[in-house]
Amino acid sequence: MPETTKTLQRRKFFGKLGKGLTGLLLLSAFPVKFFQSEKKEIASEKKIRIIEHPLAVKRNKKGLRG
Amino acid sequence: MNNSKNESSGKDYNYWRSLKELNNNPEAFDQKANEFMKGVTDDFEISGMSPVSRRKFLALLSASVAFAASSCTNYHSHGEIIPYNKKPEEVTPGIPNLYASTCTGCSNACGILIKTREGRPIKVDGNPDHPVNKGKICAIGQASVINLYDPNRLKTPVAISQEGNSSINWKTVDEGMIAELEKASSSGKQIAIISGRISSPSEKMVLDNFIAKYPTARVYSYELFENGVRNAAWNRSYAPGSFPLIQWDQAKVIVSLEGDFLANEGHAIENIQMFSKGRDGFLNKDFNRLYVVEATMTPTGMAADYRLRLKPDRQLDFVLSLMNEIGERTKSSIKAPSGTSSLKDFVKNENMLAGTVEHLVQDLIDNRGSAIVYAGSLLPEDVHVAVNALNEMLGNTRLYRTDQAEVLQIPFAQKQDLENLVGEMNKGNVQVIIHYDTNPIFDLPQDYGYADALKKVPFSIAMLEQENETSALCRYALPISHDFESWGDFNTRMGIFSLRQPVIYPLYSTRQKEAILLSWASGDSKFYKDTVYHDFIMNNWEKGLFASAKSPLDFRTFWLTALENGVVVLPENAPAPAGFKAASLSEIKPPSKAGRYTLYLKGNYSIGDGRYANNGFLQELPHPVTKVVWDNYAFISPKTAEEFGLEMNDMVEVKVGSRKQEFPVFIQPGTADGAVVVELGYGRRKAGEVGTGTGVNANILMSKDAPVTPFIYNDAQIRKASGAYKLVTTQEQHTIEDTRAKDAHKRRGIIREGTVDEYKKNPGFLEKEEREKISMNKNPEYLGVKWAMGIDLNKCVGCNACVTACDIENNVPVVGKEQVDKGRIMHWFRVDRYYSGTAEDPVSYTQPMLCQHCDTAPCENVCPVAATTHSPDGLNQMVYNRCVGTRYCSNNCPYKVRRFNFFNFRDHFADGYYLQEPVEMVYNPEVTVRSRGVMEKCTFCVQRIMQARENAIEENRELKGSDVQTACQQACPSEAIVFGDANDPDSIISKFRAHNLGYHVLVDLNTRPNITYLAKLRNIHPEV
Repeated sequence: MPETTKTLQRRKFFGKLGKGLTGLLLLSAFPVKFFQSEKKEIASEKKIRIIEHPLAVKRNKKGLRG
Repeated sequence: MNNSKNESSGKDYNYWRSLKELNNNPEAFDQKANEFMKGVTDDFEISGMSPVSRRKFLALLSASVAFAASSCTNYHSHGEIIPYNKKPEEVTPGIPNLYASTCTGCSNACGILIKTREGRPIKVDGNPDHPVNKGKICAIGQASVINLYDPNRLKTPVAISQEGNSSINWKTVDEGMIAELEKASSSGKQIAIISGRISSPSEKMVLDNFIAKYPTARVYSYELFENGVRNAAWNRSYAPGSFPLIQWDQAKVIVSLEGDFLANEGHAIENIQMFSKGRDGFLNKDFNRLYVVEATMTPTGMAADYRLRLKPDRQLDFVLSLMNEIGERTKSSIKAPSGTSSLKDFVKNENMLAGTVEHLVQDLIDNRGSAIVYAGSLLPEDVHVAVNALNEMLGNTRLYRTDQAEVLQIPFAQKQDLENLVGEMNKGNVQVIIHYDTNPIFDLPQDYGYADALKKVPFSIAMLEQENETSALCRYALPISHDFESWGDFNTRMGIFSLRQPVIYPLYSTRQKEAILLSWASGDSKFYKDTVYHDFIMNNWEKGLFASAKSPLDFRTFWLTALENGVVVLPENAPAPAGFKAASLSEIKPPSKAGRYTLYLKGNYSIGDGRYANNGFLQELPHPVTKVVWDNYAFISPKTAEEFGLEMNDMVEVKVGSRKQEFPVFIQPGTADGAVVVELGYGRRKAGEVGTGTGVNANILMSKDAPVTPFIYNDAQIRKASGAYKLVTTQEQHTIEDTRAKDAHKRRGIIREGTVDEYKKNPGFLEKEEREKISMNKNPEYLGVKWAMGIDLNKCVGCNACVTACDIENNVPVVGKEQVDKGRIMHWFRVDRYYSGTAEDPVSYTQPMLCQHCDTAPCENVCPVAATTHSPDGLNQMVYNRCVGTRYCSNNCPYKVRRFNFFNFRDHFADGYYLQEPVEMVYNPEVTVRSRGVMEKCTFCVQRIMQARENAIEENRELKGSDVQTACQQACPSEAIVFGDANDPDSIISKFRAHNLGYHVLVDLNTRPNITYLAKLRNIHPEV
């Protein structure tokens, strides 16, 4: 096949690809997120939380390794 | 073949690792020749790859990346990292905290230290202040931290019905339960509480309070494995009380009859510590001598100097004939019952080694007062009575401890009690049944009919951490808090009181079982609060223990000090034993007529009675003898296997009465002919995603009316069954590359041994390699600290505590049975097991094997990307993010200690079981969590070395070798492992390296390994 045809086909392919990506970008919420509040739900009831027990007594003895 | 290394002993040691090797089976040598198992690279067959052209591939790739980039906005995110807004006072990020507590993995209640990072428990080790376990715990204790984060834990109370389970809240549970309990109590119907061993005085008081409130309540305490039979025999021989503890360290001769005291009998950790004092290769004081008489090989049998095979139902006759013989020779006034056979006839009939038995008898006589005969807890009561008499005859009662004795808070329910309970349940006289963290449907013999009787109880509940077979038949399943979320106190030894404190708030909506009973005993559904049991214990201690202690401190200080230490010791001597009742011997019944085959059911070494079946780390821990993982099986002898035409992995049907079960066969060298030994705890139907269906349920073969004991059936019938079942064992894997000769282990000096006698005569008998070898590598110089390790093979009993400790410390993943079968087990630390001698009566050895951190490591030269390097302090380092996975280093390693991540095993195992929340909280943040395609191996706990170095810098001093303890060293109960600075001439490791018994493995390869082993000495008679 002549090279110019190949070039045209390649150009068409990447052109379509680029248009598709642009469309996806417009459709996705990504740009909207720039204007959204930064607050996110950090802790939810369903997440497991590690809370040190306040009545536990830490060991302060020296000489222990590891 | 001659052994250049062990030649001086004049013995021709013939080492072999399996029956295949011994019989020159080509399969065994094929496996050795290839470091990687067959099928390892199956996944990477090039011819199977898709024929997509390069152009098309690149186009698809770029399109995919573009789509991914546009749609995935935060695919790198693993959650937010948020600094503390209000940092808890106790927490400093990056600095671990230690909390003293108590382990309840078994009934020994060992003192532990829980290490937390940022509030999360990540490691458990022994509490050095606890006078019993003295800073050591077993593999089950080490792995208990995983149970806290098990995704299959019950998270909320559940109402169980045929339509399906539904979550309910605690308010509904409390109101419903209090109403039912009052109804039961007022109508005179029984409230049964089925509990395990009660080791806590405060818990006993909770139960007493409950019974005071609901007078028809009754507690039935049971354990599958306990000392009830031994104590009953003691009562017959002496007086009511518990069998005394034994001074193993003072015993010069120990005769163990099915007593696996170094593994899972009694307080194994304490036993190992005491026993190993008489096995110190380094100090080489007088060695003790251990005789073991057992049905199949056990860790205690592997440590024995002499071992005899005998079916368990023949032990009574053996002890009585020993008494006969010893009584005649010593003219003792204590006589064996009449009709006892002579020892000579017994030995001949049972085909025992006559020479060994003669040594046993003579050693017991020569060491009267310094010897002990010990019977295993699964043997019948009459055996224990006979053993008590034998010890009395020999004056061995001197070795019974008077400084400590066991304490049982509530006596165990007897068979009659349980039969009565089931009878009452069937009659409808039991209104409420509370399963207090127990699983009787799985544990109890099926002929109790407990499961059917339970269906007739109107209101049944189960309090448990994870659903099990019993909870499936109950009305409610109530989640209880893990040990690390709970308060408690324990008194299992006279004068020793240990505390358990919660290091975190419960992860889920769980409550402590004691607190649940307290709130129900109050009669008020609003009574419960988080501190109810804490306040209860404090109140008890103030009125009881604190008053007895007569401490000069105020109670609050006393309490806080006790919590910090984890234990309070109030010296209290055991009562002096009463006089021996000679009449107890006349009560011994003659043994029942034995059939040809005996089934022996015993405990296993990792998952307990089955309660830890869902712990993948314990399931993947190789069996200390067979090295099988993820299964149980029937141990049979080579001769019995030949009789039935059985081979490894065949199926065998074992029938006892009307009960039968099929098991895969494991032909175990050293098993008594006619004995079939099976470990209990497997084959659970409801044990979480990991444990369900693992192994075969042998519990169904038990009977409450067994002729001998519920564990021994001398009328078993066996036959070959159809089919096969692949057992996966690690014993053929990672074998050190030796030539195709089964005795290459002795030629290559991997195991070096001798006898105590030849060592005494010639301390230099080992004849170590002195020849200077030429090396292409420049010998490195270590100017500062040089890390090295020593392992005393005399002390190692193969308990696997080191393996588990290493796994938890270094975030080693579980890979599953299928991957272990392909040789991909990820344990950095393994304990190799060797045999020598014959298949019928082998001699065993255990050898811990890990990265040798060679000075001239062959793995370092071959890495194309310098991902494995050598540090200035002697460590062979691994740089994970440089590794590209050529595996050339592993190929070159002669010790086969390198492990490759063929998958991201956390994702690969059981459909990502260990990727679920909250398992990732168990990871040690100081150790990288490795992913796919990366090689890993032992690092000598470099994170601990770095921490010690930082501490030394902070304190403005030099780093010393004694500042660091590796995880394996810290865990080893017998202190077989030493670690430190080889450049310090005063350090113990330097002395190990210079010791007469010290040797290195494969030293002729000139790798210059830095693990020094002390050769194994057997304390056998010179003429053997």
